[in-house]
Amino acid sequence: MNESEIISKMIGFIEEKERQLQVNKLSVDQSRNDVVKAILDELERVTSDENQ
Amino acid sequence: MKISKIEFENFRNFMEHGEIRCSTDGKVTIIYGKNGDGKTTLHQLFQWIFYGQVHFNKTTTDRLYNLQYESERSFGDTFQVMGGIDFEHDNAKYSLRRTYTYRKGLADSEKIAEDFSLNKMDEDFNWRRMDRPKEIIEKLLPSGLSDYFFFDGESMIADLRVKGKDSAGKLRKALYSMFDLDVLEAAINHVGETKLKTTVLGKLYLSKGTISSGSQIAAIKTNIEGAQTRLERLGRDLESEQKRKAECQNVLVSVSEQIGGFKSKADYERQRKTLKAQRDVFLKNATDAQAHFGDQISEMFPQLLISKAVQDAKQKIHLRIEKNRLPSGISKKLIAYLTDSTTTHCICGNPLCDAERQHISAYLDMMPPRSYTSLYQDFSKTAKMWGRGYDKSGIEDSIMTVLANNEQAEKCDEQIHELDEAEKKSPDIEDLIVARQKAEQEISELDTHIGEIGTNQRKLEIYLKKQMRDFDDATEENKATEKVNRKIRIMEEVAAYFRKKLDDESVSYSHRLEENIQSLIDSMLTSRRKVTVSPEFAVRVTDSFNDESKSEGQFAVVSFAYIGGILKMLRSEKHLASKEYPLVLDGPFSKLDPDQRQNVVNMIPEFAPQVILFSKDDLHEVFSEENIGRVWTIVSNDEKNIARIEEGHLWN
Repeated sequence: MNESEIISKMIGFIEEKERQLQVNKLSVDQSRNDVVKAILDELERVTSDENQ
Repeated sequence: MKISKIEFENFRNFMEHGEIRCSTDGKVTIIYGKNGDGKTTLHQLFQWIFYGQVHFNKTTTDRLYNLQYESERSFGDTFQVMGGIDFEHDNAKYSLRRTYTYRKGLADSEKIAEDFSLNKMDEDFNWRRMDRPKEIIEKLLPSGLSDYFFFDGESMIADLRVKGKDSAGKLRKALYSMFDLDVLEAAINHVGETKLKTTVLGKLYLSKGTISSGSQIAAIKTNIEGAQTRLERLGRDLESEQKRKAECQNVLVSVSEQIGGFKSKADYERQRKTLKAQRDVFLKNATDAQAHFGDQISEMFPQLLISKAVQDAKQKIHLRIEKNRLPSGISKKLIAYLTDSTTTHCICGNPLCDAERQHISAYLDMMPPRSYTSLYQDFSKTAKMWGRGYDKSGIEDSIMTVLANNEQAEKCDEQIHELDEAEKKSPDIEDLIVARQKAEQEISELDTHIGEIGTNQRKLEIYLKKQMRDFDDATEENKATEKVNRKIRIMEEVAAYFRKKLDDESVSYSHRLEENIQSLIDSMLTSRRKVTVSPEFAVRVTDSFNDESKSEGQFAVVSFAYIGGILKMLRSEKHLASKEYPLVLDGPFSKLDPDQRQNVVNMIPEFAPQVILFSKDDLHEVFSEENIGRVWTIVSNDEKNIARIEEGHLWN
């Protein structure tokens, strides 16, 4: 997976995540930490997929 | 969203349980009520159920129970206030309930519990209670637009003018939610920047310090985190100080306006004197007209009496003529021929006998003599002359003049009374001047403090930049940090994508909103107005001199056009079509002139999928019959403290 593919994959992931969050709203702090962690995990996953 | 039913119990003056079923087929639901019956109470009920907020007489109150009901409870008793709304959204049925529980105290009752629940009907027609009802309602019906969805024609104008910026911020938030721009905004906030430690980029950046070891790196990392924390705190301080400053500026504007329009005792006295002089002129006119009326009556008294007598006689004679009506075709000549002894047969060919001749001659008694007929004709002419013999319109004019002048004098009295009341309520000029000085002083102190915060922020940002440069130098370039740097590059690209998308969509939506509002304004106002909507969704409506609308009627029309433009746009955008909102309007036309009112009414079906309207005026002439759905009337007792709702228009 090249860099531009990773970028579009991350954009799709974040959009989906944020949309879910809007539907099932949590408290602001809770959601912020959860989303940031989920994005970092996904970024780690797609970049390490590439290395394997 | 379409509201199918609203119910209530023990809410303010609505003591008994009641419910209003609303039309959901596009027709207007009308709720009639006279002044003080409880229209605004029911209008507020919607906002209480949805958002838990009520504003009666511009104040928020927790005492929502019926006072008579409460007075009948014993000390320590608990009782409830209940409100519920059933609605449909996206082909699903929902039921929303809000309940306050009170305990009766010695002097007052205290709210001891509150329940708010939202149930959704599932595919098996079972109700299922939903988690986080408040957030779901916020998404379905953003509270930032509640002033428009629940439009109060009486207080809206004043409220929106006072709220100003605060209201604009709420509106922007609501529109971001409607157009799904909040998703993009949240993505930008979460991806963040390298200098914001709680964001994706901030965390990635600081992770470089974990990979590279060394006491120097650890120290710089601590410095960076400390600076970031202080910057966040300064940001919050700045926000709260700016908010406080905006509040002070509102107070300053309001107090300055009061001072500008301040009326001294002498002003009140002068105005009162003018009104009394006007009233005395009207009363004198009425007395003069009364005297003139008396003169006319006494001058024409004989004519009036004769005219009346002649009219009566004419009536009697006329009745007699009617009563003695002869069979048609009978004349004196025919009777003379038939009663002649030489005539043996009738004109129809039958033979005549003596009895028949006698019967025919009886008709002669009914024939008036020639002299009588001419007498009657002469009399008729005289009667007509006397009938017109007095100046009827002159007398009527005198009566109308007396009535009109008395009415004007009464109006002057009312205005004098209002002036007396206003004088009693008017604040002391010295208090106003002190309040203005206080607000000015506080703004000056806040400005100094805001300046200090800004200076500290700039210093910290310079310090943070330097620390981050040192951090970049100290975290050696190896395979691990290269990997993190690459992730940062990727996420910066992602952030740039979301920022561009948000900019593009804001511009596009605001442009289309501008077109929609402009087309509605053009239809509703006769004078030309230009609408501009910024990408932040701030709306300006200006005339050819670039001045914003000032009159209350125009302001109300602009408010209608604003919400109308939003709703119209939601209906026309395919991916937003599921977002539909009800309009609940209380006295919406009170500030509009008849033309504006008709224009607004004609436009409403174009943008609102559901309209629920509270009115004290009959709207059956304004709306065409096919557009009127269910109609209800509020019935209140004379004391206006107990009311109930009944279906139908009960004043007909």
